[in-house]
Amino acid sequence: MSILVEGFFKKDKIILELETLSIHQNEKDKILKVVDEIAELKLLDAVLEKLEAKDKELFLDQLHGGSAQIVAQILREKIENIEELLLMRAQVLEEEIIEDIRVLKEDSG
Amino acid sequence: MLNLFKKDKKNSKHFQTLSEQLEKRKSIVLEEFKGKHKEAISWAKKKGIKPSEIAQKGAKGLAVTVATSAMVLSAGVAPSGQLPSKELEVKKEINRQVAGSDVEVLIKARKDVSPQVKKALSRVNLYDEKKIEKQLSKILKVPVKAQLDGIRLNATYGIMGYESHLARFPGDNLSTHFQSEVEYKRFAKASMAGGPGAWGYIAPSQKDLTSKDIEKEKYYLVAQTFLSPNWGTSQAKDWFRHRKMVVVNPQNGRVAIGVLEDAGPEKSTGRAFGGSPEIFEELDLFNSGPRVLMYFVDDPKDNISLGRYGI
Repeated sequence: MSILVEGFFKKDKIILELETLSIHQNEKDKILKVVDEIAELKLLDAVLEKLEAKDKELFLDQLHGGSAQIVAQILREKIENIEELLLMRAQVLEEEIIEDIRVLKEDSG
Repeated sequence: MLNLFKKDKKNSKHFQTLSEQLEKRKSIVLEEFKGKHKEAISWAKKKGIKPSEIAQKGAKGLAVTVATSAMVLSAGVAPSGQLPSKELEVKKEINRQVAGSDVEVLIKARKDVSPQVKKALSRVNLYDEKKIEKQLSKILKVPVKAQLDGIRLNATYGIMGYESHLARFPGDNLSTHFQSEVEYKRFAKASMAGGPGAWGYIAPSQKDLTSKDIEKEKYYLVAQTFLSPNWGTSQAKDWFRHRKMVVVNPQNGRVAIGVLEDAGPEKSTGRAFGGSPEIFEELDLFNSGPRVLMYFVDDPKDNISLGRYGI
């Protein structure tokens, strides 16, 4: 899992929502794994949208095998209010997933 | 694409439906990503990485160097347009040499325990200190105590009040208090108390303020030490100062570690404890209601970090 998802994508509410479904623990784990994969793409998309072409490669190099401190430094230097941006994107995704689960419950209830 | 959700007779109906929806969502997001970020896709091809794994295969070094990435990012505000640091390439090489031996330990420490805590607490009377000590000690893997060194507070379960920020040193104010603009925007609305906590300033001056001092104020707690059965001796008063405690929101299982920096609230308020704005946010008390469990943590070597536990 990358710095982006580790730091910004909080799954607490999704986990609690999953608790209300009649599914096994290993199934929950599989679902959370895919949720993380979606979050990785969404948050990476948010960062790449804001970075200039010349900075993208350095960022990707650091994200993939480099240092979190340098990833953080690049993001801080290059993207204004990066924390708010990532928190907002992560929150939107969290709400979408929760909504999916709630609709599923209603449809099957 | 690897499909994690191959049909299995034992899979539940909810799982089948939800997993199919999520796989579909992931495919859409991935296709959009490929369309928007062709340079990233080219970069991934050069490196032999699948597009879907660009971010997922983030380095082990990430876990080594970051306790919480949010903290790293909020350590300063981006001066927009600033040139890339010349040190970046050097740091890149240094960081690639970070040994992997501690990686597993840190990854394990980052596990979110809130579902476990919530489940465990749903089965016990929240005034049953012995059972709660046992459950929390087991899940958090640290000794959690209602009474430590023969000293206890008047309550271990009750309402937590939302406190203002404390002045950490003489002259500390809203403009000196925050590490970044993001922090300021998020927490300045809680305003500042008129002065320090019951034990005085955390640091004698701004230049003496350490990162540990900053954390102490950020995650400070308030308890009715004056109602403790041990109150009345100077030893007890000193013992409470900076005392590390665990605060648990039984509604959502969230856990935070903080330190006592102030005495209160008044008995007439009906509240048993107080917490900093940061503690309130970490425990999500605005959404869940303000009832918390508060216990001592036996951590003489100061190994347990302050803030949200496990995140």
